[in-house]
Order: sequence, then structure tokens, then C-alpha cells
Amino acid sequence: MNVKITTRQRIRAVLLAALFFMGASGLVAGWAGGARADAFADGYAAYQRLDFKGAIKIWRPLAEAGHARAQFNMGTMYDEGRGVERDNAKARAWWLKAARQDLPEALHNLASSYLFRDGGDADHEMAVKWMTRAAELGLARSQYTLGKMLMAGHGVPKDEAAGRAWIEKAAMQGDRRAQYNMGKLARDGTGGPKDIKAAAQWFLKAARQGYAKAQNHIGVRYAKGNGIEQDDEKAYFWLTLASDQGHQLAKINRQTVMARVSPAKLAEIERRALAWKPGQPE
Amino acid sequence: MFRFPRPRILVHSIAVVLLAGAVQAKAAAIPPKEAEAFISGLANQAVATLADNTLTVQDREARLRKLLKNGFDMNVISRYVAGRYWRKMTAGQKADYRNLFTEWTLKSYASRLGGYADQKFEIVKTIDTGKKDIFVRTRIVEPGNPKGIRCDWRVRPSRETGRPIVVDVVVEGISMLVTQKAEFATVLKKRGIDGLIEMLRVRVSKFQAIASG
Repeated sequence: MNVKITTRQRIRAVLLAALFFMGASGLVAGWAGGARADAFADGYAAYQRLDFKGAIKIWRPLAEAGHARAQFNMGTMYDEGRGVERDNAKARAWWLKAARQDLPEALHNLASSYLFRDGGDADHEMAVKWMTRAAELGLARSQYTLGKMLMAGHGVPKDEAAGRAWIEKAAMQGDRRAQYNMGKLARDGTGGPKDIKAAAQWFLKAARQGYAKAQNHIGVRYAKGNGIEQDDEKAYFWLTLASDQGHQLAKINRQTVMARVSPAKLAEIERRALAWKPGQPE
Repeated sequence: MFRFPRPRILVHSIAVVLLAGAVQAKAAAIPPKEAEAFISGLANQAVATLADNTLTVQDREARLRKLLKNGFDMNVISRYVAGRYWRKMTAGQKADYRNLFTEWTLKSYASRLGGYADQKFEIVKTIDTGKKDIFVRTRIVEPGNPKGIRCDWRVRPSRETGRPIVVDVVVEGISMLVTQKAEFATVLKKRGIDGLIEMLRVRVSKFQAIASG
């Protein structure tokens, strides 16, 4: 029996078939993506158990299939010699694959690998190219590193203003080394305006994150009233924390401030310093 | 007329000073049993940390770093490794270099300790250098390598506390201190003190393996 199909019905059938195919392929793609995510997580679980060979066994096929994070992790395994023989060239090759997919951590490590190569000279042009991309993508560690490269002029034309701008971006994101450096740059007026109040605030931010050098700096500033209201008790608190971390200069500075605070108050501050953890109010 | 006596007096004086130094240093050396106990304690704590599967890799490394920080004299090590450049460094450069070198050394030592669940650690003997240092010879045995890896720990009394502290690790006759010094000497010659500091900063800032995003 012949069944006549109208043009409208034919179009409808084609559309339905197309929709079905798209849905099915989406499901397949979704399933494949989910399976890959599960496998990647299994690899990470093996890594956390220190089963590095097991992690590599899972990550390698994913990396070869184009999984950026697996490619990055393969690079770190070769870089650190975990589960495989240490091989800088292979580490860089894997990071390059992930960097081409704009994975910030891969861009950062790849840039670093060009700066100091085993048995070879640095390729600053490549280092700056990849580090800049990572910094542009918002990675604080890359912004800080790029800032320091520009400040020092190592392999790039020295540009203190640009260097300070990148360090400030990292500091604004909470990078404690960048905050400490912003303190020094604002104190000295390097690459931008001199501002001792801003300097003290940057040192304070880094000190609150437990950075010993910054704790020493803010301690001294409290003791002298430099850019911040003079306060010997606060000075003693920060200098005690820096001293406890082994900061030699802070130990000397602490002795000086100690003579200016009453014994009862000293004991109370020492107790508070002992209980203090980074991020807590002082 | 005064040419010859002078060097003789000088040589004699040096000998006296060296002898006195050796006697003084010998008296201050860590007793063998104490040195062995110290290294054994460090190793046992490291093994316990590595075996604790409730901790993440990052937590384990943080604990190992703390262990190494307390067990290694990083002031002595960092000064030795910088060699003659140490004296040329400004106070700021010294502080930056020492901090970054410590961070990087602890990070790389901690990462090397991972992933060897089947390794066994044995104390073999102690070797007295006749000076203030004493070597604790250990052997690390792993499957497929029954002869093991010879590892000598150079131990001396800490200047600050007087307690034993490690100043070098010699693996199969190769001193980590000497190897490191040679590597740094190349960088220092090529790029100077700031170049070395920059290198350490870059090495410390590298990311480790990441989880799924």
C-alpha cells in the first residue's frame, strides 16, 4: 500500500530526526564529558594517595585526548619526577598543550619553565608572552611574577610603573607577597606615588595573612607612628608574631619595644599572639 | 733578616689555632647515639606523615616542610650554597635569598619524599669526622633494589639550641650541598645575585597538580 507523504510531513519528519540526532549526540557528548570528569577525579584521588603511577595511568589517555587539566598535571608529574623520571622537556611539552587551551596554571608554569631551563639559556620573550597571558586571565601569582620581572628588568625592558600596576592587581586579589611588595613600593614611591599611609595599610594586610616580613614592617611602623597611629602594644604584638616565625630583625626590634610596655601587658599580648592564627582579628 | 721567622710564626700560629679549634669542635660534636636517634626520629615522623592517607598531598608536604625546617639548619646551608657571593649580598638580598632558598629546598625535598610507600629506612652506622660534624649513614631499601640507596646525613649541634641539626645530605657519595652550590654558581656567574633570587622566586611559584575545575 502506497502512503502519500506531503511535503509538510516530510519536512516535519526531517526536523524530528534532526532534533532526535542532536539530542542523542548531546547526551553522548554529555556522557563522555561526565565519564572524562570522573576519570580525571579518579586520577586526582590516586595522586592524593601518593599513587603517582596510578594517577599517570589515568591522566595520560585523557591528556592525549585533549583534556587540559590532565595535560597540565602530566606536566607537573614530569617536572617533579613523580611516578615518572624527571624530564623538563616533557613537562614543558604537556604544559604547552594545556596553555594553548588557556589554562592559567599551565600558562604560568610554562612561562616559568622558559625563564630557567636546565642546561640552557632563558627565553625571556616566550616567558613574558605566556606569563602575560596568565596575568591577563587574572591569575594573581602570574600578575605578581610578571610585576617583579618588569620591576627588575630581567630579560624585559625595565618598567617600574607597569611592574607596580601588575603587583597591585595581585595585591588586590589578596596575594600576601604582592601586598608586602606594594607596601615597599608605596613607602619608597617606586613606579608610582609615595604614600606612607598606603604603605602601612599594605604591610598590615600582608601581616594579617601571617607574612613574617610584613609583620616586622608593620610592627616597626606602629612603634614609630610611621604612616599609622603610634601604638607600642600593637607594635609588640606584630613583632612577637614575626619573631616567633624566626625573623631575626623582628627579634631585635621586639626587644626595643619591650622596654616601653608594662610587664602585665607584655604577658597578655604574648598570650594573644600565641593563640592568633592568620586571618583572625588581632 | 725578619723574612723567615715571620712565616714560621704564622704557620705555627695557624697550627695552634686549628688544633685548638679541632679540640673545641670535637668537644661540641653530637654523641653518635644522639645523632642516630635524631635521624631515626626525623625518618619515623616522615614515614608516619607519608603513610597518613587521611591527609591531602598538600597537607602532607606542609607537615614534611615543617619537619625539615626544624631538622635542617637552613641558615648554614643557604650561606654555604651561595659561596663567596654571600658576602657581596646586601642585607635585603640576603633575607630574600635565604627565605626563597629555604622555601624552595623544603618544597623540593618534601616532593621527593612522596610516592615511596614500600621504602624501608635503616640506620647503618655513624662516622665521626673528628670535627664538630658527625655522619649518620642510612640505607633506603626499596623493592627491586635490595642493595638500597646509601644516604649519609651530616649532623652538628645547632648554633641556637645546641640540639642536633642536619647541614648536608650525601646520597651515594654525592653531596646535595656541593651539587647545589655548583648549580647556583653557574646562575650567579651568568645572572648575578638578583638573577639567582629571581630564579628561586620563579621555582617557588610553580603550581602543582590541580583538581577538576
